[in-house]
This record gives sequence, C-alpha cells and structure tokens, in this order.
Amino acid sequence: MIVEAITIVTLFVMVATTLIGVLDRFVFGFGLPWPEELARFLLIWSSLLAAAVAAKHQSHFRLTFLSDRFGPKWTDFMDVVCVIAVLVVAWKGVEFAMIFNTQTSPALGLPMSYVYASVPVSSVLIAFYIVQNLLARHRSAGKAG
Amino acid sequence: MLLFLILFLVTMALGFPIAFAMLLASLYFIVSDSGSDLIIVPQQIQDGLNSFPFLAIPFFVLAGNLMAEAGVINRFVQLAQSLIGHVRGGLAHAVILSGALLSGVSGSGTADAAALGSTMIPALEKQGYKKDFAVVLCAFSGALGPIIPPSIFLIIYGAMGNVSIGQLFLAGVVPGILMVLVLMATSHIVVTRKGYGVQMPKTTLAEKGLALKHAAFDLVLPLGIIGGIRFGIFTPTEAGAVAVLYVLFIGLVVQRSLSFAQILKAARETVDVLGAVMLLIAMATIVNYILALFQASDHLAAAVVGLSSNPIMFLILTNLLVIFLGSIIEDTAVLVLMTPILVPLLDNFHIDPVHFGMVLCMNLTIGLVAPPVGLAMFVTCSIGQISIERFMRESWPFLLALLLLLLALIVFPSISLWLPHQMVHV
Repeated sequence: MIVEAITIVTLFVMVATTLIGVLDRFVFGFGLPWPEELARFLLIWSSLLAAAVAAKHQSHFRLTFLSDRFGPKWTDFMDVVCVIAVLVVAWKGVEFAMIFNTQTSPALGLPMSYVYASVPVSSVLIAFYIVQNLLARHRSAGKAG
Repeated sequence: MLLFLILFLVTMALGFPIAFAMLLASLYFIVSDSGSDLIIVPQQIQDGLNSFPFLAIPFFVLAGNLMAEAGVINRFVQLAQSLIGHVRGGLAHAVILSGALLSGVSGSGTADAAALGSTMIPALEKQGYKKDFAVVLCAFSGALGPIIPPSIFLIIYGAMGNVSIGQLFLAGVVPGILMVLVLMATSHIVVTRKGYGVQMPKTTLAEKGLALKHAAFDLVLPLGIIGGIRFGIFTPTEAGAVAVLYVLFIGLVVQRSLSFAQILKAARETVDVLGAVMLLIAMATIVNYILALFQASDHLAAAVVGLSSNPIMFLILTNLLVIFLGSIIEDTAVLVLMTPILVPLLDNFHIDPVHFGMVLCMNLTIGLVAPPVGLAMFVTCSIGQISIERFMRESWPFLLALLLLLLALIVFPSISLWLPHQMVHV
C-alpha cells in the first residue's frame, strides 16, 4: 500500500534528519538550521499520513459500548458524517495552503504551502479510506446475506 | 461552551472515533457560535503538530517495536532469570525486571505489554504459573513503560504543558524503580499464597556472566538514553533518534537477528500508533483553542481555588477526575485534553509541574491496566485468550498496590522531584 510505504519512508528520513542534527553539533559544528526544521515538517506530514493509514486499519480510538447496539446502519451513518467533516477540513485546508503560497520557511526556504498541503491531502485520504471500508463492509454483508 | 462540551461527549459516546468527535464539536462551534472562519481548523492542526518535542513519540515507539522484534526480551529475561530465577516466583520477577529494561527504551506501555505477553505468557505457563496470572503479570510489567523514561505520556504532557521533558524523564526514574519493587513484592505474595511456579536451580557465576554478556549491548540503551539526557548530551527527541539507530545497529550488525520483514513490521505498527496519537493531538489543539476562547482554565481555576487551597486536596480531586475520565475515554485522549487545562492551575497551589506530570502519568498508567478501557489489558487478554472478567479477578492485588503507590506519589512530592533537583544543582 503506497501511502503506508511513503509514511514508513518518511519515518526513517525523520530519524536520519534528526541524527544529522546531532552529528552536526558534535562533529562538524556547522550549526545547520535545517535539520530541526525539516524534521518538524516531516513529522507533520508523516503524522497526518499515518492518521490516514490508521483510518484504513480502523485503529483510531473509539468507544463501542453504545454503537455496538445500534447496528450497522448507525455505523454507516457515522462514517458518512465523518467523511463530510473531513472533506470540509480538506476544502479549508486548500484555502489555508493557498494563502501561504508565497511565504517560505526560515531555514529551508521551502514554500509553506508544501507543508500545509498535508492537511487537505491526508483529509482526502481519510475520507477515501472510510468510504472504502464502508463499501467493503457492504460487499461482505451482501455476500453473507 | 456547555453545548460544545455536551456535543463532544455525546458524539464520542455514540461511537465516533474520539478524534473525530473533537473535530465535529469544534466544526459545529466555529460555524455556529464563534464568528471566526473555519480556516482556523487547518491552522490549528498545523500548529499542534509542528513541534520538535513530539518527534520523540514516533522515535521511541519505533525503537521499542524494533527492540521487541530483535528478540531483546529473551535476552533480558535470561539475564534477569540467571540473577533471581532460583528464588520463589523467580520467572515472575524476571518478567517484571525485563519489563523495566524494555521500558527504558520504549515509550509505550501497551506495546511493551504486547511484546512481553506474546513471549512470556507461554513461558510462564510452562513453568507452572496459572495463565490468568501470567496475563496480568505481563500487562502490569508492560505498564512500567510510561513511568520509566522514555515515556510517550510524559512527552505529550511536557510538550503541551510547556514543562521540560528532560526533567520529567528524570522524575520518572525513582517512581519507576519503586513501581518495580511494588510489583515484585505483590507478585511474591500472590505466588507464595497460591503456590504458582516451579523453583529453578541456582545458576553459577559463569552462567550469570554469559547472560550478562549476551545482553550487554542491549543494556547500554536504557542507561544511555537517561544518561545522555541527564548530562545534556542530547535532547529527548535526539535520544529517540539515536535509540532507533542503536537498535538497528544491534539487530543488524551485532546480533544479526533482525530481518527486513521484522523492521517493516515494527515500522507498520509504529505508523498505526503514530496516526492514532497524532490525530488526537491535532484535534485536541483545536479543542484547546476553543476552550481558551472561553477562558475555561481561568473559570476552572476560580472554581477549584474556591473549593480548597490545599495542594494535596487539589491533587486528589484532579486524580479522581482523571480516573473517572480515564475509565470512559482512552488515556491519551484524557492527557491531550486535560494537560492544557490543568497545568495553568498548578501555580495557584504551588505544585511543581514536574511532580504533577509524574502523578498524572502514574494515574493514566493505572488506567492502562484497569477496566473498562485499559489498552494494555485488552492487548494481553487477547494474546492470552482470557476474558476481561478473569483478568479482573487476578489483577486486583496489583491494582491495589499501584493505587497505593499513586497515593504515595501524591503525598510525597520528593519521590519524583528528588532526582531532577539533584541534577539542576550540579
């Protein structure tokens, strides 16, 4: 699965970036400003992508003591509400990223929209995975019935 | 304000994932009530996640997962067993000690409990321990994870409450050691009463030396992390990255026990935890922004100060509140919600935020192994294939022991503050 693979790679790049920062301080002493900044930006991206992966694996914490009694229709309804909410966040996320299109980050000179794009991208992915899980549930229910 | 909180609690109770319940309540409030634009939602998400200290979360989760995959637990257990295996309930003590060593690398109690459970429940059973006891023991030994540094709970508390994470980690050392002793004492009482376990022959000095040699490389890690932070060699975040590198070095070069598939498995588990925890943090940032609009913390402070100005009273009240919340909501969610509200109150009671962090962390850790929503309990019960009811029946002596330890932490701040204070003056 491509999103999971990208997240895992980001995770290890994050480790490497932080290590470069440590090495720089002890060995080279350049006082590089970018490893810390890059590591933070990668954390934002990997956290939000990981949130999408967790949505696919349904590992977001939830309480089930009431929803178990309400049956599958209720679960479907909750999924639809979540998808709508997440798509609103995606829409506003695009707007937010556009505003900062011209602003660049202090150390890397990266357009901040590259960082801020993480919110709409992962929101759309979360919506996609919720719908995918919902359809998969219906397909298996259809087969069973 | 009240409507906002009710909406959050109701959506959560109805079964929405907690992070989404926070989002839904926030969206509703911003649209209907605040007059601000929804654009603050992506802005707050970015703001909440853009934090160097939070990097330590994926690092220590990954280090712990890799450590478990590399077969470290077996080496730790062998070492601990060669040291105290000959006493009554020796293997049980060895599991607790291994849990302590594992906790010195990993930041998550649930992952530790899972790793211990999958290797040690069968081993304990084979040596004549009742299965229920084995499950409980692994869950509680894993629960050392959030107390003994590094700790995800302490990282989140420190980053959200503006408290030094290095100091918090140091504060966890003494309570961590006490918790090990308390668990070992409880285990000893249970084992002797119920006659669990077979006694092992005493090992020779040579066997002890061999076990130590096997585990020597692994032992560097827990000591190196806390030592490196203590002597200011690196920040907690950097320690996490170094820990990942070191575990990979042990697994790939020294022991050659780590395969690519195992690294992948550890990374995938890390991604799942990262996603769940960081989404909670991101959404809690929005909720806290809204609560700040209402000056919720000030109102709460006024109400609580009016009630009592005794710090111990305050600690007991907040602990009861956190136990209550923790028994309905997942612990990380309680932490991300309560930290920004409670930390500003501490000044009124002259409570050290490091001490409070430790108390809060111990409280949430107990929540990990207690019904109804303890994650470490769920994970070990599903590994051991026993019901929650059977877990509860076997776990009460351990639960009682930890509650007494929590009370001791509340009443004697020096248990947590002694070590960090030693360090500041050096």
